[in-house]
Amino acid sequence: MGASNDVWAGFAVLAFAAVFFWQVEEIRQVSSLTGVLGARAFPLALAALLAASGLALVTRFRRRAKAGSDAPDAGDLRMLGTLCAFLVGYLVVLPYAGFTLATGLFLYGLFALLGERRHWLSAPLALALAGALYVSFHGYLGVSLPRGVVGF
Amino acid sequence: MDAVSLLLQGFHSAWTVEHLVSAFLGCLLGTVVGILPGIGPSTTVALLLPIAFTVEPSFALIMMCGVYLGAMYGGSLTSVLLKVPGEASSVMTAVDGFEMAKQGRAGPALAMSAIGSFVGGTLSVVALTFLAPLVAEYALAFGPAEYFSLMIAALVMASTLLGRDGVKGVVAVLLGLAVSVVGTDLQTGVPRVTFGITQLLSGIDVIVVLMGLFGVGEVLWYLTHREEGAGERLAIRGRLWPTLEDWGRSWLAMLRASVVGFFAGVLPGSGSSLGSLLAYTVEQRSSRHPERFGKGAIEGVTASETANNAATGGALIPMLTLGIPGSGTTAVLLTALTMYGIQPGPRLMVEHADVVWSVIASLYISNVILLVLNLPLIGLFTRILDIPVRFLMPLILAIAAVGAYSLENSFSDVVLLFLFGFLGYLMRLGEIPQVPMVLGVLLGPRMEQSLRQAALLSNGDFTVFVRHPISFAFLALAVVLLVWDWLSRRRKAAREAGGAPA
Repeated sequence: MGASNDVWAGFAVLAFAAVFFWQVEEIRQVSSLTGVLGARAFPLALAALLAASGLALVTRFRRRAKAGSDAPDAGDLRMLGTLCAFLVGYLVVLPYAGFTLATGLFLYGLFALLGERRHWLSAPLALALAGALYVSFHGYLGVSLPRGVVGF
Repeated sequence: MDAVSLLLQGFHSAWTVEHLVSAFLGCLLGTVVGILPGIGPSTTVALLLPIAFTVEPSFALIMMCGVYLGAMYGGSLTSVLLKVPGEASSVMTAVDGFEMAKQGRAGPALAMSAIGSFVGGTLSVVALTFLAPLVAEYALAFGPAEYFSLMIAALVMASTLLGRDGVKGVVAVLLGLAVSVVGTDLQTGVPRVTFGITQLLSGIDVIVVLMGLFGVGEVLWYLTHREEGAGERLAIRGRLWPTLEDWGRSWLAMLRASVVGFFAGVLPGSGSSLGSLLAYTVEQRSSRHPERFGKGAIEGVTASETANNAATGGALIPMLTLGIPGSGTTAVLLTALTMYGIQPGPRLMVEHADVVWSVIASLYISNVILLVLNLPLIGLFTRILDIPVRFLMPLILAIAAVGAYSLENSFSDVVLLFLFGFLGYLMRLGEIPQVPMVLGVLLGPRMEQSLRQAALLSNGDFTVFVRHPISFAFLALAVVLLVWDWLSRRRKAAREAGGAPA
């Protein structure tokens, strides 16, 4: 498991290095008055080092595969997918529903997802917590939170 | 002015109702998060950052330091009663603490944890008081070349000391540095790595990275790795106060662990987990009865808890004097400093002496508050374990989201928060440590600036980094660490391959 983790981690780092390198190449070189190193030098060095460390992870696969290790597993992937869906859903709903309603729904949904079956408790609790956050951040800290159709 | 006079001034400033309240709130909050599995001091302090904008620097920093210390105290409770460490730094406490609880001696284990935490925490603040000004004075002579090399050494140290794998530590640092270059280059005004997205022109706020990795990422990991059915929680039975024999076995362990923990804390990236592990190992090796360890040895509990608190003072030295954090939480504290426009580094102790010394003085006060809180209120704190995770974790996500939004009143920060949260989960899965990445994000801009300044001052002559003796020493240290890490891992791999069945 540890060795295969290394391989995908290595490929992920290589992919990131490639995207990063592409972005570094997009940096305009300005003949700067300040001297020797332009805006591209440091990121370019990082891209090279990222690629090298990604390669190091991929190429040692065979060695580590023999030794084996107890790397962590991905856990409950269905739960991960649902949690990510909740996060994306929250981002989509937030501008339209406003902070309090969107956060209340988000919390209520997650309470249910995590096993809370007492809806008479979790629904008002979710709304109360969302309201408390609104009052703390909008009322006390003066943050302009999304109002949505409800207005708060 | 000498350290004692400055400290007395610090006490004068810290001994106000406002600062005492902030220390008390920080300690209380820290103890609570230390007890709760799944959220640590880094997460909590990161979540406090948006709120810190609205209060004065001393108030916020004292509170955050209280959280840092309190979490170390609180972490022992779940280790002893549940064998589930609230913090990584309390893992060694669980080994003997839970055994003691099974023998009906949870009370003395928790009491000695609190007393050891107080001794370790206080001794490390004494060392911080006298060592920090010396280090800062020495560091005043550093130029850009020395700073660049120092940061290389610190990042290499963080990547090799943290986690089980040096290469992955380096990857984490590089990821952090890569994030730090996103946005407009301040020297040339050129956009870098923005993918053409306007919102990225101002760069990625380090607070969003911190809340994403430590907050959202930890919640995702915790919820996808929950074990059904909570473990057995043991009750606190019998006497709370340790016996004379307990004291006899523990006092020397406290002193040894204070020293070990403090120096482990100074090393960038290692923090209190390494201190706790080292102190436990030292205690076991120096004991005349090593066989007792793992079966309820109170000196094991004392060593672990003393060391993880002693590491807090140690970790503050590089943060306050060099602007280089020694742990995840001090990385967040450093962010709080920069948020107030306070430039970390050796001049911090000169230009903002009032803030620094009132924070140091408050650490003494916080240690006393924590001792007073923890001894009589242990029973009450165990009730915190009754808060259901199904309510707590969603709330952390909501707080992180509103905290990220409040930074710039922008959705894009919430999107980034969730993306960094998912990255945090992937990093945990790939066993890539998160703290070096945070250090990379934090130190990246100063590192690049130092590199460019050094190159400019030397007319592009890069040998400046090895010609300056201090710079050379830091680079040599970085190389030695990398080679040592590589060799030790090779030896370990060879041993495992040799020991593996054919």
